[in-house]
Amino acid sequence: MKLLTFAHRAESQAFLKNKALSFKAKPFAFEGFYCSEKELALLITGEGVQSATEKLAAVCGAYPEITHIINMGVAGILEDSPKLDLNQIKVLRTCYLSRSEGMEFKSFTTSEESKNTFDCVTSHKRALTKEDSNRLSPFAPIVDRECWAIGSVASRFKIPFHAYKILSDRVFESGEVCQQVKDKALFFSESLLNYFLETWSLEAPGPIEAYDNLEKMSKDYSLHFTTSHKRKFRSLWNILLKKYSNEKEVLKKLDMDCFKEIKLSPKEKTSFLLEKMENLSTPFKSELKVKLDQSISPLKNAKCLVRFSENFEDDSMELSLKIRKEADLIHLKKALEKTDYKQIKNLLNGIPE
Amino acid sequence: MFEKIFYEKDAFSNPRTQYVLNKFKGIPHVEISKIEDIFGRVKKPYLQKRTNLNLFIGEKKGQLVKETPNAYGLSGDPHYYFIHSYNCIYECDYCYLQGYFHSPDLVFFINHEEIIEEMRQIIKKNGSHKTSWFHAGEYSDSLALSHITGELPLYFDFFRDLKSAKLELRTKSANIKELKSLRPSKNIIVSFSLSPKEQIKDHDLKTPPLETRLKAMETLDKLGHPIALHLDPIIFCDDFKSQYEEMLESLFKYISPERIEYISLGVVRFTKDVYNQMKKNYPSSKVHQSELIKSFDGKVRYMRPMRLWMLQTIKNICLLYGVKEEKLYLCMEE
Ligand code: SF4
Repeated sequence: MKLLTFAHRAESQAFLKNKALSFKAKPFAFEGFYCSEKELALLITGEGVQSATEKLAAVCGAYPEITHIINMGVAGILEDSPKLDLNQIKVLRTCYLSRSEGMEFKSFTTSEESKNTFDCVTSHKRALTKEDSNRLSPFAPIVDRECWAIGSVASRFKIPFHAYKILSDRVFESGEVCQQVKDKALFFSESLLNYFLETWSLEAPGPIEAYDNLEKMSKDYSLHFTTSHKRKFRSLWNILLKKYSNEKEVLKKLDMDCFKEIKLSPKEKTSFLLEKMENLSTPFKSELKVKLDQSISPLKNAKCLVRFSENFEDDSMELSLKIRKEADLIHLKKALEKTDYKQIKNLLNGIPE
Repeated sequence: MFEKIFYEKDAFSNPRTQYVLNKFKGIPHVEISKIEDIFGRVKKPYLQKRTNLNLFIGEKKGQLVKETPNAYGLSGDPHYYFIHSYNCIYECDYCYLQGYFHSPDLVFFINHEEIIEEMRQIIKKNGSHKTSWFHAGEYSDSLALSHITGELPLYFDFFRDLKSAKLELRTKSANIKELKSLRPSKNIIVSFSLSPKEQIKDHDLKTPPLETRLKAMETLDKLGHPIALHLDPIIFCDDFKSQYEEMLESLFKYISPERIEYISLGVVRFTKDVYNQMKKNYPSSKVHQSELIKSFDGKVRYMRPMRLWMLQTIKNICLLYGVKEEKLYLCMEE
C-alpha cells in the first residue's frame, strides 16, 4: 500500500475529492487518516516536524503493508535560480533539517533515481524572510516544514520514500506569502494530484516474477538441492553474477555441460557444483586450501589434526594427535619427515612459486 | 563543474580566491563567514558529487602539516602530509574520502604561505641530518586542479633550495599543465598512482586512462621532473598477474626503471566505515567480489597469504624489469 502524506487538508483536497481514488476516512487514534480501495492511503500529518513524526510513525506502526511513503505539498524557493519557478513541481532528493539551535547533521535521501532532483531543507519555523532564505539556502534551494520528518520515519521503518513539492512562494522576496498560498490552495492541490496520477501507477503490484535459476538448473542438469544447499547456491550465485557480467558467462565458467555427463548421484553432483562455484568466487583461497591440503597430507594420513590460524593471519600451524600406542609415534615421525615445512611456510607467506 | 562557490569573507581579496572566482564567473558565488558553518555541518550524500558539487574557498585553521601514519613512504625519514585541499573531482570506488568528510564538496585552502611556514619550522626542528618528506594529496588529488588552484610555483620556490626536505605530489591525473612551466627540482617528486587499464576502467571512475597518465609521466620525465610510482591500491582479479605484467611492460616503455625514484606497493584495505560507505555507494563494484575478509583488527582486506602473494608477485615483475630492490617499498600494513 502506498501512503500519501500532506501537512494540511488544503494541500490534499483534490485527492480527497477525487472520485476515482474514493478515499474514506478511517477511524484511527487521530483524525486525518484515509484509505482508498486502490491500495492507497492518505495521512494529514499536520505542520511541522514533531506532528509529522508522531502521526506518520503511528500509521507506519499500525500498517506494516505500507510499501512506499509519498510526501506531497507546497514548498518555498530559497534562491533566485532559473531552475526554480513558481507553480513548478519538483522531485526532492536529500532533506536536511534546520532546528532553532542550528542545522541537524542527519539527512535523509528519497528513493528517487531521476537526475533532475532538488534538495530541500525542512525548517523548524516558517521561512518567510530574506534572512531565513540566506540562512537556509547554502544547504538546499527549497524549504518546507516536514519532509525531513517523513524521511526520518521512512528510514526507521525501512520504507522507500518519495517527495514532490509544488513551489508556492519565493522566500527571498519576502511579502504576504501565507495568504497568497492559501488562496491558491486548490490549484496547488490539483496540480499535485495530476502529477501523482501521471507518475504513479494505481494498479496493485502483481506477483513478482522471479526467475529461479535453482529450479531450472535442477531440471536441466539433474541436481538435487537440500535446504542448506539452496541457501549456499543462492548466495554464491549472487556473488558470481556480480563478478561476471551475466548468467550465461557464469554458466560457461562453471562448465555446466560437464554436469550432463558426469556419473554422480544428483546430490553428489550438487555438492560438486557448489564446490566449483566456491572456487570461482574465491579462487585464491580455494587454490591455497588445495595446496595446503596436499602439503599436509602425510600428517593427515597419520591421523594428525592440522589447524592454521584464523584466515591464515600468521604463518603458524597447530598439530594435535592422540598417541595410544608406540606405532602412532612412529607414524607421526614418518609423517613429519615427509612434510615439506618450507613449502607450507611459503604458501602461508604468499611466496610466489 | 561546480553548482556554487562559497568563499570566506576574509579570503575574498586574496588573489587566489579572485582567480578562482573569475575562472567560474557564470555560477553563483556566495559569501560565508567560515567554511565549517556549512561544509560538513550536514551529511551530504557522497554521490551528489556527480550532480551537485560545490566549491568552498577559505583558510585552513589549526595544524596545517601533520605527521603521516606509520606505513607511509620510504622508511627511516620523518614523513608529513599537508592539508591544502579537501575532496576530489575523481570518483575511485575504493576512495577513503567517501567515509571521511561528511560532504563530497571541494574545499580549496588558500593560506599556502602558512603551510610553508609550518614546513620551515619542521625542517628546522629535524635538522639537516634527516630528510623531511612532505606529501601533498592526502585529502585530494594534488595535480588534478593545480591549474586552477595555482599554488605549485610557491612550493617549488620554497623547496628548490632545500637540501634536507622533499616534496611529493601524488596524483591520478594527467594534468601537468602547471608543472610543465616550472623548472624541475631534484627534491620535488611527482608520484603517479597507477593500476592496470582494466582496473582503472572498473574502479578509478572519471580518472584519465592509463595511457594518458603514462604519457604525462613521460613528458615530465623528459623535462627532468623526478617521477615515482604508487601501485596502490592493488586489487585482486582473476587475471591479476597478467594484468600487472602488461601494465608494467607498457610503463617501462615510457620511462626506464632507473629513472623512477621509488615504487610503493600497497594492497587494497578499508576501515569498516569506508567499506560500508563503499558498499552503499558502489554496491556492484568488483572489489566486493575479490575475496575480501574482515581482518583481525576490524579492517577489511585480503587474507595475509593473499596480500603477501600479490605484493611479492608485483615486486618480482618489477625486479625482472630491472627495478632495483631498494627502490621498491612494500606497504605491509600489518
Ligand atoms: S584520485 Fe584519490 S582522492 Fe581522488 S577519488 Fe581517487 S582515490 Fe580518491
